[in-house]
Amino acid sequence: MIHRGLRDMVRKSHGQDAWDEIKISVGVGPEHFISANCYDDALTMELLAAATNRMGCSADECLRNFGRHWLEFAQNGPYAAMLDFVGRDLPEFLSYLDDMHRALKDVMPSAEMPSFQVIEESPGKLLLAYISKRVGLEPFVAGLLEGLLDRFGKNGHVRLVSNDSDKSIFEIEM
Amino acid sequence: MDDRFSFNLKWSVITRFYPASIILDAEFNVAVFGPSLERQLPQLRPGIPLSDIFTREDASASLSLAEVADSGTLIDLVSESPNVRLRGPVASGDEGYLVLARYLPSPLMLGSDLKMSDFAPSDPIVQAMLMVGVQKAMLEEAEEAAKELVAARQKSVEILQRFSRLAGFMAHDFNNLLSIVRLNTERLLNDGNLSARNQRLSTIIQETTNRGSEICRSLMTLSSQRYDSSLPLHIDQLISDNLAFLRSVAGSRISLSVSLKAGGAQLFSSREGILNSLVNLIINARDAMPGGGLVWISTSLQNEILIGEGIEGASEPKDFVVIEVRDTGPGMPEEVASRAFESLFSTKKNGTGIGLASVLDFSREMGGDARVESHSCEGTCVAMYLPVHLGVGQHGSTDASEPVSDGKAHIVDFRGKSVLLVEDEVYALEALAEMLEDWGLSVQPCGGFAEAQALLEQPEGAAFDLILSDIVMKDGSGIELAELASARKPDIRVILMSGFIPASETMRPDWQFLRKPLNSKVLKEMLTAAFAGDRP
Repeated sequence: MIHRGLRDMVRKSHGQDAWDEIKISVGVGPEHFISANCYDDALTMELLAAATNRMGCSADECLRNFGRHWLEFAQNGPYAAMLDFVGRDLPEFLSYLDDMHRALKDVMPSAEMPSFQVIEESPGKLLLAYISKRVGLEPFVAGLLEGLLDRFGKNGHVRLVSNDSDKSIFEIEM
Repeated sequence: MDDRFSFNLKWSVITRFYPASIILDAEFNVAVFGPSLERQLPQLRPGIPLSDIFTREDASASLSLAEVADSGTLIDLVSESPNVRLRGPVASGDEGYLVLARYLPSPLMLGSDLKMSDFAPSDPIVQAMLMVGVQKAMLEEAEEAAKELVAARQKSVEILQRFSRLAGFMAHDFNNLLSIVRLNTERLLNDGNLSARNQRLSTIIQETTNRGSEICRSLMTLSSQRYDSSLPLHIDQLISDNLAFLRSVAGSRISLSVSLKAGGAQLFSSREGILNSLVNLIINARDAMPGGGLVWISTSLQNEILIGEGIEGASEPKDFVVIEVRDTGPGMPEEVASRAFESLFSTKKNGTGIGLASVLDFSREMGGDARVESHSCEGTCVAMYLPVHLGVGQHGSTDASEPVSDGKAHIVDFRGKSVLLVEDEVYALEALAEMLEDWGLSVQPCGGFAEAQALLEQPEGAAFDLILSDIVMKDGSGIELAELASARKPDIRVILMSGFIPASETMRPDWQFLRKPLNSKVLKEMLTAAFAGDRP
């Protein structure tokens, strides 16, 4: 699903030709874009690197943009009803994200899912812990959270306040 | 042993795992309910009778809640508006009853107002709903992928067709140049003063030109847009005429041999279809032997009953020409051989799975069939069975585009005969004009359609005995010119020349067609045949 989201973003921002170049340079075919399949992280990172190169932005900027775009892609595609099911508002959505990932993992056992935990909630502010075995994806998560703010009609900011080896903390101000 | 136990559980914990739980007082009025029910049923309020909101639809609905309490019996509570269905056991307490309820799944759940917070964390409904969501998404993606695949294949087909046409046009133009080389080589060879060495060199040029022309002709045939045209043809002659091309397809590492024993048997078939099939089979054989090997093409006649899918009239034995392509490759294991003709099945890394399937499709379209015989380490043989149109010894019209020589020498005096010669390749025009004049004909050369048309419109335009014209010219069609000439003079003889075989419906029955590169002997025979009935 990440691959499909990336493809959608490149096509919309830079056109089919740009995507064809990336596809050819990395050497991927239709078999690498099946949502229910899990792919090697190395391949995903290669696609991301090729996209970053082609779009001419920094890696962090590309990841953040991709995070925002991926949420839009997911909620406008066949997974829209699933996302609707997770929660009615941002705090509820974030609180049940782990439950959703757990259920998805039952369907796709080899999928490696991150964990999100709301560690503090106060009016207009949330502190969210992000725990993942993958490194370097904080900009992507920041983009996702910005996308979620848009989804629930909130104006706000997302800031990475700490980044330790075991978890990263995001502050979401609304 | 008393099987009753008493524990303290916070209401928030109870509703975390049984989100639709309701506490009733002793009169079965609603006392407390979970936040989920508050969202789903706004009309639910403390103090109202449970029966005002829900009806019982379980099998023990005739029993009161008090009667089913503590029995483990699951009750179903249904609210019509909105449509909410709950299920769970009833427990009795000091001050009332507790209905430990969950939502019942319904097909419309995804897309309803229910969220994950309305279910227990481990509720299998959540997983089921997510699975339904994933499957739904996969189906949509599969549909999208299928459409993309169709579009990509359509694009590939269009590109292939474009390249095919381009190859055909290039082959045609190249063939024209070879025709010029050949004609002028003949002029050289006709020169009595040529030294023995130059004669030898001219012969080499001529033979090489002939081989180049064979390849060009094959390319033009394969790239022909008239894919569906079936003609009577001699299969052995067809393979023999295209052997140079087929050898070029096989490549230098493959030794290609032929054994053509169909005799004079004719097929009524598509020349392009047969050549395409042979090309596919040779490519498969070549790819199976990357280090080199042997390939045989053989033809034979067999009389048998073909039994197979879509074969009509399979109860009577029929005559078939069998075209076999056999290789010395590694062969296929049985499980692969049994699927060899399956569309899109391929064991090659970048294989399309179209080649053999198209061979089978073509053979069946022609009223025959195809078979494969292959065993590991024993090579592969693919045989096409094509029904005989006319057998050996029978006569019929052969490929209408090819001239037929009966081998007899007819002597016709060409003196006094006039020819309107139209050819837009200047060197070919020059060589042809000289050749025709050497034969005694009076020749009026024209460098193209416009020049010839202008001449035909003059009073002397009705005086020509024969028009010899190229068909494909930059400024017009030789066929159109022939029609003009025939309208001008109905008994004018017509010989048209081209590297492409014209559609038979564009040619009048009494017109002759000469295929390029030109063969002077054949041309002379055609002229002889054209004037044979004339009185001197």
